Amino acid sequence: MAVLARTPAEVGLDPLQPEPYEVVARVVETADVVTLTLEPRGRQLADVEPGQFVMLWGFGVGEIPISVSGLGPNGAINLTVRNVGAVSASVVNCELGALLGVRGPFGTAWPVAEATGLDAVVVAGGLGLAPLRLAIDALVASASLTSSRVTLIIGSREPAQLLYPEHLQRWIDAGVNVVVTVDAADRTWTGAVGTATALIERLAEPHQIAFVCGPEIMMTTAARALIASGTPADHVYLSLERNMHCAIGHCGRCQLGPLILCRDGAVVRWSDVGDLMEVRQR
Amino acid sequence: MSTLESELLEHPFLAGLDPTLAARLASLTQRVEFPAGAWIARVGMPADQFLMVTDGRAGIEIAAADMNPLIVTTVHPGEVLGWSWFVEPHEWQFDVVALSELTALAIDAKELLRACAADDELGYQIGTRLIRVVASRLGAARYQLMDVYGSAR
Amino acid sequence: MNAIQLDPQGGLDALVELLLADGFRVVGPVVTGGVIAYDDLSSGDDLPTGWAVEQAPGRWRMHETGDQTRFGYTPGAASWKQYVFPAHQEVLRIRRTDGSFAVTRPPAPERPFAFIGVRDCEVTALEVLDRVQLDPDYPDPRYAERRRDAFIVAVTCAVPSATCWCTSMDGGPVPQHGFDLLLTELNDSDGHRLLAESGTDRGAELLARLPGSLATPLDRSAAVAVGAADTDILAPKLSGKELPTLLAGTELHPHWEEVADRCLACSNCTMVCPTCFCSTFTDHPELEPDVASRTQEWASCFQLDHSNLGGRPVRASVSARYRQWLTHKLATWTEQFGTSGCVGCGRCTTWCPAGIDIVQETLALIGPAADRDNTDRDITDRDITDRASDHRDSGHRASDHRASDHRDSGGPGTA
Repeated sequence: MAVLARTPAEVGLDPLQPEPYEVVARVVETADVVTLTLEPRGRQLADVEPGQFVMLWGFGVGEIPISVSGLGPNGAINLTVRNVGAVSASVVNCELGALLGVRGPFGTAWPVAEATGLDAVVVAGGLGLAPLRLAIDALVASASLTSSRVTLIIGSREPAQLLYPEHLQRWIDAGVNVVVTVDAADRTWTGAVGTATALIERLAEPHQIAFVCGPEIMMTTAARALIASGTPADHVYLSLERNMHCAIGHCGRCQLGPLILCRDGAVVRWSDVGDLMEVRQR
Repeated sequence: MSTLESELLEHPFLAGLDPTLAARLASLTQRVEFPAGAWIARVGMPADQFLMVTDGRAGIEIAAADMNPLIVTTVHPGEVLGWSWFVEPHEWQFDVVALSELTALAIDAKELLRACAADDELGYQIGTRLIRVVASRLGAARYQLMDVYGSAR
Repeated sequence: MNAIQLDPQGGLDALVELLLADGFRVVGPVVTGGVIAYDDLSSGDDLPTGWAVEQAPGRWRMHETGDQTRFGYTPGAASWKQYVFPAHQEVLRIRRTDGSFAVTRPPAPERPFAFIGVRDCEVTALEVLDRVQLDPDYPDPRYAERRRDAFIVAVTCAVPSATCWCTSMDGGPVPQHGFDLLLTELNDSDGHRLLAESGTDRGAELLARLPGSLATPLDRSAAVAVGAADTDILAPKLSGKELPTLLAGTELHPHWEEVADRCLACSNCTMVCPTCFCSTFTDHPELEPDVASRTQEWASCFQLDHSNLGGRPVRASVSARYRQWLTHKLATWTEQFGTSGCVGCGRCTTWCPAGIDIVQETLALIGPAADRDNTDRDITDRDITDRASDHRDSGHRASDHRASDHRDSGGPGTA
């Protein structure tokens, strides 16, 4: 019988409906990057796992996918946003007390449980540190219990572009081996200058599991260097972004080969996506 | 085996080199130290030493009248400075500054070049290792040129 | 399954009348603007009589036959998709009040749809669309409301067209499932009549109220013969089930560039496709203060901005966009939703202004069947890699733009 079983009531919440979240804090990270703290003023989102993203709605402007970079009391979430388009500009420039729309969380998470007890490396390029922050916290927590090692490799354009200095210090204090490299610096810089990939090659450590997030070029070169250093290809995880428009697998815009990245990503295994990422599209 | 010989063989640049070749290199090698802030090399000066860094950190720096000096690559223990000595005009192509106290194994570049020319096996061993360094630096430079962390262009 | 035979005129009049009386919004094919499209019916008279259609790549023409045939044509560009998934719809309207959102949705349709004249490929297309829009994790309430209780009057496809290829995609002229009623038009020595069969309880209930006579076993076998005859015409051109495997690893095949030379990237194929579901959402501030609305419109993977990332398209070349469309439709859809995205209706080929034939392009990509020799064996990853490297070895390279175009702003966390 060609009758659909689900009534609208059974379907329940509209997955396209944003919930009101109030901007309660706003931290300027760099010239064009802001971290917002949002608290629910309606229904609170379901629990967010590290690496999952939400759709952030600028009232009447549009939606953008943003990974949750932190959680706070009262259901608060932290979102780090770069001002690159109409929606992000409206969000980045909003004032305290403004009401934004949020729906989610969506997508896959960093496999922090799988990483328990393993020697883990996290590679973050630029804003790629934002989707990794909760995962690093989780790795640090489990490392303290299992005495496993955590290495954090950060690549950035220049020292002034580094995100979350207070968290970096917190992780260093917790025993994480934090190594930072920038594309260029003056002599006041005490870290490395060069690519994140060069850092991976310099460390030359066979990490057992890797979480990588950053510009796509950086992720592919980093993944290859990690594998060359001994990390298994199916233990290298990346967070991929495409044009996530609906976030529920219905709009067809975030496809990468067979993957619908809002649903099958953003966190994916290199062994599943490496070949797809290398196919030229232009 | 002398201390210098074993230090040479322990340096990643020469990993796997025939010990008899290492022994010959040891006779051309001395240990050098630079205080933090010292110039290790200046652009245009004769590249008369090949430096294998064992401790500390060096910066390859570019400067011009209309820009602030910029470090574009740092060189760390286990890495080398540089490849200018190997090819004409045997002059340093960049400024190199010690960003911390730095120690290195310095091989006399003229003697090493002569030895390489006289001994095909040594020349091949040093040449391929240098190409690896150049390839890695070139790859990094290409990716840095792309400014991947900047706003999309 | 109950079966009766109906007078073509009186039977269809009664069918439309009963469905209207039962509270359905009755929709079916009508002749309008020089084509056969779908529209609301107020009586059986609104259905076309005496029309035939000729289809070819880039060509659709209808002409009068001078007889009383009711379903002697193949469908036009329109598909039932437009009713369950409108080309443009408001999805939400949000009023910002003090500290909260008051969200409203346009009201659900008051009456369920009754679709008359649904072909087998179209029944399947609705089922394919259901799997996307009503997936268990995020069923779309708007689609659910429109699709709910839709009454399907299917029809045996008597006259396949040159662009049809349903038999390659596991379909055929006679719908096997997914209908409440099935009509088969017969015109033989026993006269012109419709055989009506029920596929559901409510179909049987309606059948009992139609002014027909009980169908004889002869009628049934005549109906089956109609389908069988057409199946001969429609010899499968390829095996749709094998396409996910056969198309894997063809990313670098030079044929993508060859098609791109002809493809206008106009999106026609995706607009006429009964299963294409890509869409775009747009937010609008309303003139009324503190009110915003969101609309959803059909979109196409041929649009340059469809894949936009950081303000620029991921799939910039036409070859990449054609490859996305064809491989999604015929291959990756299966992995995503458990069925092929193609039902073999041929609309994309018919309505392509450049006459690009999906079957011919697919055959060019996978090679002739004789060369394949893998009908019954499992294809391993190794084979796929080998095939990919074969294409790489063929010397084809995509256009050589700066690799920096790949850059994005860094993961989904980065706007």
